[in-house]
Amino acid sequence: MAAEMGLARSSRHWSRALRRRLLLLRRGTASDGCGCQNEALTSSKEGGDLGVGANEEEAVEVEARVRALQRLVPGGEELGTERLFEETADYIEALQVQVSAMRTLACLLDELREKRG
Amino acid sequence: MNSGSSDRSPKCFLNQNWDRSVDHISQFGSALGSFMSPQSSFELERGLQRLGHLSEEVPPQSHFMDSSGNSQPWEGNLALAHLDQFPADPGFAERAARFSSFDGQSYGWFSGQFELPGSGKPSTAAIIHSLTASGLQIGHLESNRQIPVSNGLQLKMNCAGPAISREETSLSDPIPASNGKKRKAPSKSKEKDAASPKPSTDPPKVADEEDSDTKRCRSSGKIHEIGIDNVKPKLEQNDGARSNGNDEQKQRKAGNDKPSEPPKDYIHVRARRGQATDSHSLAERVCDECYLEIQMLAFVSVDDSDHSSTVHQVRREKISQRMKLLQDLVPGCSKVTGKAVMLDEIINYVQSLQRQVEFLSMKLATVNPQLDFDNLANLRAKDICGPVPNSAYSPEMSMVSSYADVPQQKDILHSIATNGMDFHCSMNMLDSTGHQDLNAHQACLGGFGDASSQLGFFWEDDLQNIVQMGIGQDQETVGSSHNFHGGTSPAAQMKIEL
Repeated sequence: MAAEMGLARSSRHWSRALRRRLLLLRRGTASDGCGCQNEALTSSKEGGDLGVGANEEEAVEVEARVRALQRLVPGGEELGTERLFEETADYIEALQVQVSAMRTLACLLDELREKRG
Repeated sequence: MNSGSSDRSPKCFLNQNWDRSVDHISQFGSALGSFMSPQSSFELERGLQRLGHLSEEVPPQSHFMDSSGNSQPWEGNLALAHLDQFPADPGFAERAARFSSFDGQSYGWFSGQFELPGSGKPSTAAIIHSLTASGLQIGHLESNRQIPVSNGLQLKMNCAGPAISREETSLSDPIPASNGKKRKAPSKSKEKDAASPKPSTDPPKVADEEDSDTKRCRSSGKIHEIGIDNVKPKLEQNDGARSNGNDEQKQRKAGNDKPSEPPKDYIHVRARRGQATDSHSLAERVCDECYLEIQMLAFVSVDDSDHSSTVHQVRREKISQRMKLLQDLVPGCSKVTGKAVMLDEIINYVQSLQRQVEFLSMKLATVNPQLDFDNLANLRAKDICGPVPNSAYSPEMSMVSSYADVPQQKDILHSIATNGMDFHCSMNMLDSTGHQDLNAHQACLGGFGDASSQLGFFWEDDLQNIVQMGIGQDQETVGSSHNFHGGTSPAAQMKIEL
């Protein structure tokens, strides 16, 4: 939770979605219905967008994965493919920073604890 | 000298980054700050600086040394492994994470830096030297990869100087042996090309580098003329801003790909927008790229009948660009071909990062429950609850009332925890649980913070027993397994509640 709070600080779309989600959780509402209105849009664009040589099966596969990525990235359901990729890139970076920060923190605290004896 | 520079540079990085904190740097601070109270976060900052001295005792958590730099499993915390080797410079490590994440192409050389100095904790100067050494061996440029690696080039210019100036900027793509360490040689060549003061080839590329210099140097208000003359002043400017350059390199490393077709107007437009993108994150830079490409393509494409196909093409190009970006971010994806597999990798990577964050947050919550989460830092213990009479009744009452009243609960519980008298009271209260250890009172005074935070976490539930258990367990050793159990429940509760 605290880690997510740390992640929710940036001004990116996924970060705002994360903030909304945290706020909803905090208020006790279980609603997780993000705006899925653009998902259909994504699917319609998917076939022609992902590559010239993509045949039907590949397009379906890719689309399934894009869906999965949309679910992973907070706020991803609302985004089109290219925006989704952008947000994913930023989200990955943020996660990496978060993990490194927490790891450093854990190491530091371990050290301090050991020194304290 | 290395040690001296490494002593200077961490503070340099930290200071400059705290000053220019954007996105991830602020996330870094906020990530820490969210874990700790404001005071303790500042202490943590100092502690992190101290960590540099403790770095010898911190073993690298995973080994990622790989000569090729390409086949490293990211499950092994790829980006983090070298961070573990970099505890001397937490700010630098953080930026290195972004650096390596920003430009996975340069990840290879980054890992190569650890190999070049040999062992132990590579200092910043060692990295610079290794960069220089690796840069000297690069002799090519791939035309399609025009990555505005402004900071890398600045670093090179600062450090390599005339040596880099001698490097060629050919359009071929030979990969020297030293580049075996690098994931994407073209990025290095891009750096080198950007670093070269004599771009003997494409003026647009030079202008691209100029643009990255422009963006970096915050001179974006001007539209730079394309030409070689402007590169030299940039070089001098960069040399003068060496320490900033090292920092900016880590800050502004961007692994953007652009199509290799920028006409002159593209460069000009980009110079105008440079101010908007200064020190922004990777994806925002991608946004700007995208915007500029639209302009470019609008400039280029004139046929209405081809409009739809052009738009489609534009979308496809953008999407492939983003895919390349993601490919650079996700370690081990350079060899993967095909969108589906790569998307698989990306998804797995994101999932693993999320799991890591969750695991680390649990670990931090259990290892050190005295960290205040969320707004518990705002508690002022003594304000709400004054001197508590030494009776078992009143703290119990306060506990009960604290369950009823949310805002006061934390304060009350906090005050109970921090007040020695309250400890006795709560001790009496806890008599029923059998955790009567008055001797542990002094020793566990620090544990009161633990107790208070744990209490504060789940005041809303009927957790009196658990609270008592938590307090009692905190009276034992902090690192005991009981505390772990006591710690997991508050963490879990906290997660559920919050």
